[in-house]
Amino acid sequence: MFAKKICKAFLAIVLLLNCCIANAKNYRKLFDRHYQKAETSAAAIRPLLQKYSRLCGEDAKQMEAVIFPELMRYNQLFDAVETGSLMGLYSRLGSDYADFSIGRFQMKPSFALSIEEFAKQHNSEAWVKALGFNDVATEDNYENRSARIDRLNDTEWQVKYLVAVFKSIRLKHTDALKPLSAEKKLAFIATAYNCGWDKDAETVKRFSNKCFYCIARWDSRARYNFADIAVHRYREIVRGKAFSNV
Amino acid sequence: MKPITILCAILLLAAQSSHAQFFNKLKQKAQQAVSGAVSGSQSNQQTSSNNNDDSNAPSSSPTGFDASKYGKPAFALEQGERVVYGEATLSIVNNQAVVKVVTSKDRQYYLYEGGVRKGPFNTPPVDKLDSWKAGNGYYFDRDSKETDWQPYVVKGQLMVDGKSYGAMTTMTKFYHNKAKRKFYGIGMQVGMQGYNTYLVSDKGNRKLSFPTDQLIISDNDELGGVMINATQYNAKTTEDAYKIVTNDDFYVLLTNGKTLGPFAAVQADRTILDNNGNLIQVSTGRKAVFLNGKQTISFGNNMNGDGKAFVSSTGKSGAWFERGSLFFSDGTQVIDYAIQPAISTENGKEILNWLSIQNKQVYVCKKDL
Repeated sequence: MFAKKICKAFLAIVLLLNCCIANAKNYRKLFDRHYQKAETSAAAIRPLLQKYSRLCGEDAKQMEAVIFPELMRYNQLFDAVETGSLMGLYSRLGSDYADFSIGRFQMKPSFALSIEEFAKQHNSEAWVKALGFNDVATEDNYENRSARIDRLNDTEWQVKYLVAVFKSIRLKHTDALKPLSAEKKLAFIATAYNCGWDKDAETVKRFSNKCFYCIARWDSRARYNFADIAVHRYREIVRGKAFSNV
Repeated sequence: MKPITILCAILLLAAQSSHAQFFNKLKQKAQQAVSGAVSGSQSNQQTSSNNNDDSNAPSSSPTGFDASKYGKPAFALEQGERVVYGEATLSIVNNQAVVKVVTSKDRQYYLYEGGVRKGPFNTPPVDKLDSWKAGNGYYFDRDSKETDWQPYVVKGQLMVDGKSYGAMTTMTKFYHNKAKRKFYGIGMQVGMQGYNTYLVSDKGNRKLSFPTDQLIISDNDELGGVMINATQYNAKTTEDAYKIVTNDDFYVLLTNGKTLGPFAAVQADRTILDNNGNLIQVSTGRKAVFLNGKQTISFGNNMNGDGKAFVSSTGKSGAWFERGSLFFSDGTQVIDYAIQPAISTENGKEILNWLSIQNKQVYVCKKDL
């Protein structure tokens, strides 16, 4: 009997320890200076987020929240030699490379191409022309790949891709988003952005409570939930607790 | 199942979780390499032949680059063999370029090390690449180093690694490398007579003529310094010190006692102190790199300054690396063909080495810096 109680207690402790920290309340305190630095980055791009979100009927606060975890990672993950080498290889030789992240928003060429191709298939949508995706060529050649790298290195274009992915997720996952509350919609979008926006809704839902997020790739600390961080940031912004003058 | 068995299983699971994380990292890296190699054979058919070095069509680079002008092939790829492009490294060992490249052929993997082919391996041997072994040093915080200073000021004294560095009221900047026992900071002492500002380090304190918050530290943490405007540096009176001069010249005061400058103002997006004490400033607006105040390197219009400078120890010449391209101070350009550049010294000359893949061959290229 006593052994049974010990077993149950042990199981509970191990489950708790192995459970991902999905409901941490204060990511600001947890991520400390990374969080503060990301706020500075967010403030710098806010005018662009507001400009393009207004243009396309999106919420700039939601976009800032979804991209916030990547802003925290940007400083930590950048390696000029590795990323630079891969950019050159990608431009010349195409997609047979290890997919790599570029820029503040840590977007990959494969992600950019997926948005461009989706925009092409939905070119009657107003946002496609408004953001300039109607002029983006997608044939796989040196010029187009170089141009894609140019765009991913440009903050304004990264914002455009961000708006476009919001639009694309809403179009692709209309049924999955419909019954959700506003905050749950944001969590879904954040998860889709992180795990692959063009995956099916069931896959996105399966990812929604997974904890893979960390600041640095070799960080051995706990992993966190990408969408949870995004929702936390959104709440801060909406409640006016985000520092807007950094 | 007996309770003791369940307990043991739980303990085993908990113990293995940390090992599982390590092996997951290895597995992730290997999987990335596999997808990089496998997808290549399909996408290759879609790429135009004039920029695909693995096709059978004659190869000509978009920019006319000829790798043979800069080096010799380290090895040639066999028929049907492909480089796993994300997994190629060049490191400098005893001032020699050591090249390691992972390739794939018929779903088997090979490692080229110093031109010698090893394998086959069933999974990409990415753990044998130098970048993997670099560990935490492989990723770095872009240009900035900061440590919370408050725990280091104890009862009004700056205490670092068990030693006092004098009275200090506050710090505007601070950085401590605990492993090396090196630190750098800008501190202020406030007293009845007014205040004094210091550049502080494990080498001692250097008094500054005026407060500044522009602390710069070399990549290897062996050298630090501050940038201070010329008007403030040369000020003889308090009134002079408080003058504001737009685009003023500036000096760099180093922790080794040296002073660099005066240099003309540069609207730099990035300011770096290299390990030889040279000041490197990157101006995205001017598409230029300034070495010790002098515009020395110009880079391409589609570059945004998110690259790395390779500078001679004298600071008089160098190259800028960004997006697979190299821009040398003598005007030479290598566009899209440079991989993993690194500096070596041969017969007293500083050389920039890099890899280029062209015509089914992996070249080790080099050029005087």
